[in-house]
Amino acid sequence: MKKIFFILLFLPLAWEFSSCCKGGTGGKASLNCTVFHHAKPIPAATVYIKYNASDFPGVDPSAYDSHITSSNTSNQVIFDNLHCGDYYLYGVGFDSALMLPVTGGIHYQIKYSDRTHAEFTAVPVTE
Amino acid sequence: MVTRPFRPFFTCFPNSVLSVRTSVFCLLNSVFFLLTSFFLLLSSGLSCQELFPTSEPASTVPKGVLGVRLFNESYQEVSQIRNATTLRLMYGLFSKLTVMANFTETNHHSTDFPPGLAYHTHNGNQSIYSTGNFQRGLPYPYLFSGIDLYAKYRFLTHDGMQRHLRMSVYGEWSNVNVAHDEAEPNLLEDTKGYGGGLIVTTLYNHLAVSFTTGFILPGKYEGFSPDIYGGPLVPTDLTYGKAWKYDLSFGYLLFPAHYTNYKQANLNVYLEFKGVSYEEAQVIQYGFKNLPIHTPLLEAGNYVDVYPGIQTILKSNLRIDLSVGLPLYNQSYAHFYPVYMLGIQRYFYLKKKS
Repeated sequence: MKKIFFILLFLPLAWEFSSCCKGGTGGKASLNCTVFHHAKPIPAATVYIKYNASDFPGVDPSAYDSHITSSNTSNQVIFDNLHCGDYYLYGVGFDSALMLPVTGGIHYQIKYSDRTHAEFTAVPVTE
Repeated sequence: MVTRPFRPFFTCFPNSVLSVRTSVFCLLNSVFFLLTSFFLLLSSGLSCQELFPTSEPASTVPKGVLGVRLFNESYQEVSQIRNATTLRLMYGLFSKLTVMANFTETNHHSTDFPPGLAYHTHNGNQSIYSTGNFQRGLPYPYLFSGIDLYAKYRFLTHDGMQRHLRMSVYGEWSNVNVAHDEAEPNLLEDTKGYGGGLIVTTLYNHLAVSFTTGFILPGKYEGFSPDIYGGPLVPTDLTYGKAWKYDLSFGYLLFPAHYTNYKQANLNVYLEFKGVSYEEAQVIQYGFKNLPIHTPLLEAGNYVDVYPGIQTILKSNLRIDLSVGLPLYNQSYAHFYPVYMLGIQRYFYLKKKS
């Protein structure tokens, strides 16, 4: 009974700390990002990515590990060869309807079970 | 913002404004207030117990003993009945050290924040960011909120005949992760984070008094809010206010007046005052937009609730208690009133007696 109690007590902790994935390159997952201002995709937007981060690194591009700019015809950018883990994505674009620059960040986690999958996410931005 | 003000009993009867159901709730409130008043008069010269329904005493679980407690907290939020059900496992690791694990399921919140909590609107080229009074009483599914671990160490013990003074320190860690949408943190049901504090409990004959004071350092919830213009969900981080809590509990053994054997049923009444002061919450969208707080639900606050309660203990082991939480000074925005708490607890003696 004593053993069962300890298993019940420490199993959640073990589970909490055991499924660690470290975000970075060298894996088999990919992340497809589309920058949105409200419901409108923003073409020619740049998405910056910071590996192994869950908090906003800041607006300085040098704080990020990589970046990709989408073409004028496609709204998507794709980061390939990623491990499972945490990533922070920061989108920078221009809303031609408002004539204003738009920016915004989002934390994305690729789960261990999705380590070989292509993941899709929106990167919402604001003025 | 919908609130449920307390009414005196003579205004509780059904009429054109009050439905029969509301009247029943209202009368139940009044009965507990009368019970509270009666208790206060009674407790001036008599004695009591310290197994408080809503607070932990400074006493610890005996070494090698496992306690299992199941308790439920319920209140009505507009038309929804909110429940939080917790399974608590307590174990006396050493004679002075108790460890606990709490597993809680609630229908308090969803995984995303409700519409209207955090948003921005456009006025020409201007954007106005705000937090608002969102709709309360939305239906939410039952979710496993997470795990709360608690340890209590008793460092002072002065025991005498039918009296004692005990002091303990406690620490708490929680990984509860739901889209709690008020500034007030609660490590058991609503917010992740850390806590710690001091418990002082004294018993004199049938009367027990306990004072608990402690801090809560909550974590943040990384969630999403609906976009009012129909876009994808907006990343929204809500950092809850740091809190200080201060509870004062009174317990009184009504029956038996004198024990003849340990199989006698106990009847205890309780009066617990639970106070919390908490800081303003911080809402950040898009990773960097710090939204101004325009709702009392996310502002700093403080309040004291009173929980009159009743408890029976059968065969010195099986404990059943019922208490009702009512606002005494200000009010909590994290729950509506009255809060009904029902608990059942039993100890299992794992070590064989030699």
